[in-house]
Amino acid sequence: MHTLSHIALLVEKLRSVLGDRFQRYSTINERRAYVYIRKEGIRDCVRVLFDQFGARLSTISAVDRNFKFDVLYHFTLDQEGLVASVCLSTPKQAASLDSVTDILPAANWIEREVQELFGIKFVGHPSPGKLLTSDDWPEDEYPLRRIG
Amino acid sequence: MSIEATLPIGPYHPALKEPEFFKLFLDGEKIVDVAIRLGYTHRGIEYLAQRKTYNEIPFLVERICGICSNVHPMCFCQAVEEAWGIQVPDRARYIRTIVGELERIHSHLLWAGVAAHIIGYDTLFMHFWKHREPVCEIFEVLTGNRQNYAMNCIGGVRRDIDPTKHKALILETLSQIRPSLVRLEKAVTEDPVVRARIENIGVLSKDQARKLCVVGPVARASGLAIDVRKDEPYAAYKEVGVDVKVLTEGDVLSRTLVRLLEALESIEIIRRALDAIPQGPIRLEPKQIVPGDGIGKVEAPRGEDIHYVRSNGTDIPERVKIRAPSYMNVPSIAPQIKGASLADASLIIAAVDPCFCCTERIAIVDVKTKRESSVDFESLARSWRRKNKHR
Repeated sequence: MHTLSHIALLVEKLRSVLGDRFQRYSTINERRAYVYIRKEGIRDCVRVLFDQFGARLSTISAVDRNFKFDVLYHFTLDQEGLVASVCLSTPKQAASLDSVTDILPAANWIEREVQELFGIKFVGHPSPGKLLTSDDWPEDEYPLRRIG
Repeated sequence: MSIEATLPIGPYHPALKEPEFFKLFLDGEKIVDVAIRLGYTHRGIEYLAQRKTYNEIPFLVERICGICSNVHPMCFCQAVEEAWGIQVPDRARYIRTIVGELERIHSHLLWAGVAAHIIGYDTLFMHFWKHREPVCEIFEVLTGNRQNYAMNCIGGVRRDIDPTKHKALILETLSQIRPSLVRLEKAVTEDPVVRARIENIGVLSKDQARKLCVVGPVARASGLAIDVRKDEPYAAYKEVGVDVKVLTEGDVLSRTLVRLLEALESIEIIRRALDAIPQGPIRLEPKQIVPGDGIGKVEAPRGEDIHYVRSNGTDIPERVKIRAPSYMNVPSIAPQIKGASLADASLIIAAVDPCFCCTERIAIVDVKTKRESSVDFESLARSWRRKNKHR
């Protein structure tokens, strides 16, 4: 019953840590919050969620929006029954994001999956090797990336 | 710590039920390190899902996994229902709960049988599978299929549960298998030979479990009290209630016990759900495709399954993202297996109940970064291709 206040608490904390990197937030219901941030804030955001709120990284979803990628980090706060999705965008040309694997080891495979399927580079990933595609798959082709 | 030998297991190996490749680095009998390579059952389901209509996708995602085949369509439908703002009829929520719990019983018994087989106790294996069989027969009567039940659709379920005939069959079968499950649980915990084989093996600490974000029985055996059914009740779990089983040792014995206790709890959940199931329609016809985001979460037998759907108002979703529970659990094999004896390797691998079909709707390689020089998957793959060039 207190989930709405949990969302408010979470949003306030993120707003104070991220400053102008925090953009806005929206909720569908008391179990789903979408927090929009600038991509530079993701590492601080993960630190707050994982270390202070005990959140668990469920997965990362990338969406091809033709000129940019939307990337959603779905964090689950089990005690509160809340999924907080941290949403950010990166331009399609030279798409890159900061890796969070050193803060949150569970992101290792997920970041590599996104890198392989969409061509979003995760800067600072400890083992950014080939992962999904076969060894002779062309370097600049990404299976889930739209062409054009 | 020196590496004396490397031992490949798989991708096709008599001990493995699905294709995967484990490269064990050994110092004598002791496992120093492991490198995991998956990617032999990749089917591109996310790509396909983004080219099909909403009505077709439940049938597609049902084929992600052959064991927990109810989980993925239920999860997908919940995500779409959230995005479109649909309230599922009460009776459909109860039917989803009953089918989901029946599936948990058969999945946990299947796993327990495989684990018994791995430790060389084939009598126990046959007993577990003997009692799994009646559950599959219930499915055949309820849905027409032993697997791939096709029960879920967006807005509800496709088949009703007959309040007299089906209910009587389910209750009678459950009351028959319950005493056997209690007996089999004793066979695991009280048999000194079985206990010696699985106790203190493959330990995953609570801290490691949290860092790797493992889910399901693997997390609950390591002391993390997480269960989607309790934390974010979907279907009818809010009304029916769930007693979450949590143990703290984090070894193979704990994982076994968590699963067996959960199978017993599932029987109670089904009984409560059958008692409380309300009358009414079982599905609701969606009137409009609404643009928006939806997240579906289901506690699969192996842990939290999550689907993310972005609807753009057309009859084909813009994005379907699927993350099966084994995707989070398989990386936890590495910390568990280091320092273990070679003879325990297959048991430790099996004990996370890895579902490679689920994990490999995308494919994965985990290479231990600290010793990159000794890991040469690419050359292995190259030499395999060189050998098979003529094919």
